[in-house]
Amino acid sequence: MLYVLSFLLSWLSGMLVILVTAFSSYDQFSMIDIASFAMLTFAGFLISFLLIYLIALKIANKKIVGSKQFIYFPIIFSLVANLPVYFLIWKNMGDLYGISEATLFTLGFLTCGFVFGLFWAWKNKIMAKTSGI
Amino acid sequence: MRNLFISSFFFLISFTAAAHPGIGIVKDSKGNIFFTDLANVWKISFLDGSKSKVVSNIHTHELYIDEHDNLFGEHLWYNGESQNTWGHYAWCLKNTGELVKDINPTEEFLSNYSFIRDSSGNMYWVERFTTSRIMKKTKAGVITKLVEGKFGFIGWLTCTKNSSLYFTENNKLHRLFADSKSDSYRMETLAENIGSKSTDFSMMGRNYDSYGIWTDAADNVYLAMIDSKKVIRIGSDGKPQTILASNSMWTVCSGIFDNGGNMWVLENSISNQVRARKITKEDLVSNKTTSSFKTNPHLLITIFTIAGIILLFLAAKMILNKRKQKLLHLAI
Repeated sequence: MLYVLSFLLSWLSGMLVILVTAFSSYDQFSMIDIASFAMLTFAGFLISFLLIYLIALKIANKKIVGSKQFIYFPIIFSLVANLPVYFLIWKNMGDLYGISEATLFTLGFLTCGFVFGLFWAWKNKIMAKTSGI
Repeated sequence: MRNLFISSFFFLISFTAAAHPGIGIVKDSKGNIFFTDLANVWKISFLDGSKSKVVSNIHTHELYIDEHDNLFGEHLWYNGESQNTWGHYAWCLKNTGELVKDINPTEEFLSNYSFIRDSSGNMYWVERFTTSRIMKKTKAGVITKLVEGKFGFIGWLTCTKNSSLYFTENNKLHRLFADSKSDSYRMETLAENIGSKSTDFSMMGRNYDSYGIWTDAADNVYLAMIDSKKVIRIGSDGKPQTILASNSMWTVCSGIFDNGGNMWVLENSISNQVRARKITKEDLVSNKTTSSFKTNPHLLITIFTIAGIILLFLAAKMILNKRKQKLLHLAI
């Protein structure tokens, strides 16, 4: 259940950053734009989550412990785990979308990874406290 | 992963491409209005406003009607993925009611032919490449290049009776007209900032959303802004003025003025339905049409997203609290 919640929370946070940034980037952001960004970030993040994030989380949980998780988890998930996504965004820029859309995608995925990392660091801290008691 | 990512893109691109609406709306000498819904051509009678189908099962984005009330259009089709080719023919619905082929069925897209014509029957079209050109074909079949250059994306063309051509290039509006002193054509920029910036995923699939273009008797230029769902008028000062705003279900794609000075707009809905709507001269003058109800899905969805994040966070906190209590219970 927590995996599903962390996935949805991270994706929605990414979408929120895209939506908020779009207020200053575009004169209008229609339903088609919103649906396009929502579907692409959802599909992209779901694939990353299943193929990369879960494995990376398992490894990171073993290797990094304590309060260090609050620093390293967001860095690992927003930068390292997202590398294939950033590569694909950069590779398809110009063919499938412009630089403005690529920037929004990058910001969205960066936020997804950051929130995902923070969420699991927070969850581990709470559970560790309880175990300590 | 790459394939899945790209497939989802193609799905979206096909969705937006399916929403590529027509601009064909014309009037005959009596005042009847004809428009395309991309499957049929409809006529709205000037007598009683009744609507009837005049040409069936044709896919045409543009229409042209000559001074003898002969209506012209095309039929464009795709031959399927196995062949991956396109075909077309051009048709003419004569003023006698007879439907004839102006160009016989041919492979690929229409070329060296256009539905943008002046009162002398000269045709005009755009060739969009790295270096784009605007071409002219006289009634005698002589093809000449009017202008050439490394333009941004050139939208639809419109031609007035006196052979002035108006077109948009990204967010600029240009006029191309015959130089009275020489045989050549001159281009002038009428407005520099007409478009509103949108995304590559928008209905236009480009960053600027100007679509159909038409003029009134005083040569004011009207532009359908397809994503921002409004019609703007560019006056002689080059400043855009919003004269019509539609609600979130329908967007104006093109328009025309009838003999009485009323504006007819061709509108496309979110589900790809098409209608022609009359905006009376009085409504245009009184500016009533700009105060229509307009929703802002962007703001609404942003608010819902914030609410969703808060709810998910609270749900996660609740689950963790339950787990904590379970652990504590086990420890005791």
